Amino acid sequence: MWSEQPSRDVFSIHAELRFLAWGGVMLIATGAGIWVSKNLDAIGPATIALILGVAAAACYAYAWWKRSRPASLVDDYVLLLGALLLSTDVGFIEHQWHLLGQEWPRHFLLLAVVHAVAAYLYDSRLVLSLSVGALAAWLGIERNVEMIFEANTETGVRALICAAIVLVWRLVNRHRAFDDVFDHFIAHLAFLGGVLLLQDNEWIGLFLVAVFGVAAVWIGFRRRAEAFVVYAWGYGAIACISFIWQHIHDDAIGLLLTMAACVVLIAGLIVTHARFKREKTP
Amino acid sequence: MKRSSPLAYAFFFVVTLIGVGALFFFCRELHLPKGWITAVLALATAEWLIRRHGFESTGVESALWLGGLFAFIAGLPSTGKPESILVFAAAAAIAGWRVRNPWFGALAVVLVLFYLREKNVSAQMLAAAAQGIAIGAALLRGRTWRLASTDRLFGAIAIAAPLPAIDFWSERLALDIGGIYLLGGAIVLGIALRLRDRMLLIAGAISVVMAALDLHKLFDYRVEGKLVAAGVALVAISLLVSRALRGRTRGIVVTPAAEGKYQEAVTLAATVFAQPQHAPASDSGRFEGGGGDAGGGGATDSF
Repeated sequence: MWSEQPSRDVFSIHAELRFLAWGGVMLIATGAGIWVSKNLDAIGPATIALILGVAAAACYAYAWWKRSRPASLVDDYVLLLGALLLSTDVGFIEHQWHLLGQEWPRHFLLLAVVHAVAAYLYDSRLVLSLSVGALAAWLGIERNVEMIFEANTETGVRALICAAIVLVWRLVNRHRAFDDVFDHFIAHLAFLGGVLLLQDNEWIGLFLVAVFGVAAVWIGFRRRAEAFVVYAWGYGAIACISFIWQHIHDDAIGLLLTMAACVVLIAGLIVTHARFKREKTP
Repeated sequence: MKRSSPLAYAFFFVVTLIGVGALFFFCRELHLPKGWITAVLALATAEWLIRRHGFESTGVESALWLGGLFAFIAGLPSTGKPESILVFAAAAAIAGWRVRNPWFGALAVVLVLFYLREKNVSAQMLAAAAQGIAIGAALLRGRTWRLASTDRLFGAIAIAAPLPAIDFWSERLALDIGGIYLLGGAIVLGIALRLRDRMLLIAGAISVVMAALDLHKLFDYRVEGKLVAAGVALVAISLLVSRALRGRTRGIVVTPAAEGKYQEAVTLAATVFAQPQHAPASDSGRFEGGGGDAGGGGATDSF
């Protein structure tokens, strides 16, 4: 995309229009969330829950109706909007009426199941990713950067458990189009678990990142998927530098080791990457 | 000749910059001339990799050139004058010229515009200059250049130039600046469609979005209403344009093209991270479906 010279013949703006539609849906979902939080007193919780539920149902119904008709560019995103509104609705209902009491995180599990069913029914990778995200949330893995810095061993173990659950799901999955989504989630969750353990001074984290790194490189070569090779080196770099600065308390030595680690990491990826490209070329 | 994919490029670039930074601070710890040593070692290594090993667009040589020059400038005694921004801009331009990286050239333009802002050039002048540069770069992209990197340089400048010249976080409405951005964005979008150019489409869209971020202050509605309205407008535009172009086989079409290597992965990741996060029921605070800063089990801090 970035390297092409301007073309004067056929020029497809399909990807750009899809991006517009995706951005629009995310804005609507965000606006709906804010609307809920601001109108609780004015409209009343039951009405809000009902409105969100009806809106989500309408989106699902539209997507179902469109299944037997010519596909349009926004179909996937209407379904995504329905799933996001449903997530907001379920979260709101649980927050308002405490249906699950102390077990409130279970509403994430409910969402994971509902989104998974919808993903298979509608053949939607976007909704599948929401399902896996909800599963991770149920296990206590938050989606923010602070999680890395406030990490503890428990969160690391939870990430590893989540990776294992998604791996089992991937093994029993018969819908091949979803395999890629599962693979990327498994890789990130597993590496994240290792890095979080390491952040909490657990040496086994370094060992796990190394093991997952070898596995990711092997999978990358086997399936000609470069992303896994880069994941391995990327998380390896985070683990190495984190390990150095946790255990070396002399700044000069820490900086020297950081330089050495960078040189080794760059050389490692250059060698792996070159071999990867050689094997990829017929 | 060695080149990297975008993902590998990002890894090489970041890790090399970390390495250059570590060298700079290591020299400082040892009370050595940090700027000189870092610049000499980084540039020598970059040239060795380029000349002896054919490195080109790997991310390593780019980061060595940019990091080396920036480290050299950072090592000089600082007087705190805004003119130092121009020195960094010159360094970015030199590094960009040497490694043929269009984004370094764009960075140089952005830094010059930041310098003008520091020199208290009026916001209207700055906005006009930014849009003038973007339009000029868009027009220059229409020429056929001998080197593809020169062509990409103008695309990168058209994308980056509008970024520093508008203070869209300010609560104050600046109608004239929003208007300049809207007009500039529309012109760049027109050139993009005429040239069938994706980089310019992005450049025009950025200016229009920035104009919208300013001009939305004209309407005295609640933020959630504006978000929903903007979202509906985007979906409607997408739908209407796709309907209008349906069935076309020449010129601008909506035929599904093969998705970029990382396009779907990025969309999935962005969806997972951008989806609303929910409150724990045990907390009596307000529900924030629009995205609290906690979402998992046991999270209690923002509700």
